[in-house]
Amino acid sequence: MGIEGVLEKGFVTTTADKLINWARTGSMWPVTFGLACCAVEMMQAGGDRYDLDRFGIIFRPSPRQSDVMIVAGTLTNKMAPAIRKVYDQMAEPRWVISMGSCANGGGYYHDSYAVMRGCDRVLPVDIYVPGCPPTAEALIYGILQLQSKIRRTSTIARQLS
Amino acid sequence: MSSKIEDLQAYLTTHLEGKFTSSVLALGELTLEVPVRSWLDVCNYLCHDEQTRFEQLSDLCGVDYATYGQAEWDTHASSTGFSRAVEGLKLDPFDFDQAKIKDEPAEAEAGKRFAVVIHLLSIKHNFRIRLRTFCEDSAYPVVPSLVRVWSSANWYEREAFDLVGIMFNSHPDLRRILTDYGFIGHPLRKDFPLAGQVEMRYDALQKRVIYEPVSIVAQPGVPRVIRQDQPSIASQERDN
Repeated sequence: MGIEGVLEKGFVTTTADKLINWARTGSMWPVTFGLACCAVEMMQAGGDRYDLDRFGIIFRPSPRQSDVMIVAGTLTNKMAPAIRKVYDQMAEPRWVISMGSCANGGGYYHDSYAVMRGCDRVLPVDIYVPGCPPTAEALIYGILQLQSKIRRTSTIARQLS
Repeated sequence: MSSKIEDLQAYLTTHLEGKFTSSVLALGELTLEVPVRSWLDVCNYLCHDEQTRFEQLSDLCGVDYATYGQAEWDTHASSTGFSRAVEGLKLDPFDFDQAKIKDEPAEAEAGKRFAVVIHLLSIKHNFRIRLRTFCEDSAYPVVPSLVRVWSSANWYEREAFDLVGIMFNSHPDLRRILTDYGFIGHPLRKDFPLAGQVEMRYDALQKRVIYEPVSIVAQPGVPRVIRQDQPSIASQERDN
């Protein structure tokens, strides 16, 4: 391991950024926002075979307990104000994963009168997962990408504007 | 020996004489054409008469016959391959002010644009029937509501009102059921533009989701072209 010597002394040193990002990436609780068939793949990812729990990902029924929103499925015009409201209720820091063609850019329903041409018209999206629907593996890959994105950000140091 | 459905047809012909204009028995399915004025009478009869006893309304939908019988794609130009390898004579789905649809259904009820079709099931006698009625006025299509006969008609009629724009007289709660709140128009009408009139986005200044006129540009459907100079296809043609 390389830290055995340190462990004997009973402590390790690291940066606050690393610690906070470790905590954030290790417990990304998604708000359950399944809208269409992509939600079935999301459930599959959460099921016993792929088991998102081992990443510390536990689906929450409330946006106030959530860190990440997985938009899984076709976002219709009628649902758009609701999804924005749910997003606004999430506590910061918060992230959005857009799952599947419909959430990415309208997909099959791009020309439709009733469907948003991408959920990024209402939400700031961090990760786009392509596919129609994406496999459970693809969603997990997207989640891992989001984890590495979070790891790259610094939390204490604020950018001067 | 006549089948059960033929017996039903004969029974209805004698007992509902003058209440429907035609009855067609095709593919083992019986279809009655009913004028709007006797729509409620016929449905009441079919529901309550002991010999018919259609307890269940399993489907109700509205139909727009505005472009009925007009081929979207002319199919004679290509004798092999896909039948779409030709120009379409089609209404442009992105032409937003196409009020120019010809109102001529190639139907027996010429000049009538909207129809309501229902499917009934008799659990007691184990047979089904289909009924269709054409609305008298194409500009303001009205049909009596069937909610008092079958309560399952409630949401079906709301759907037909929402998507096709058929009014149902004496319906208890004729609101939209599927489309967005404040939606304007009836999307399954043939003259409704595919992309609709509005689109939405989040406005960071107003901090809410707002409506805007649609911005997407017309992408006309390109007819499929089979290129004869492609060696693989040319060889296939030869083989045929």
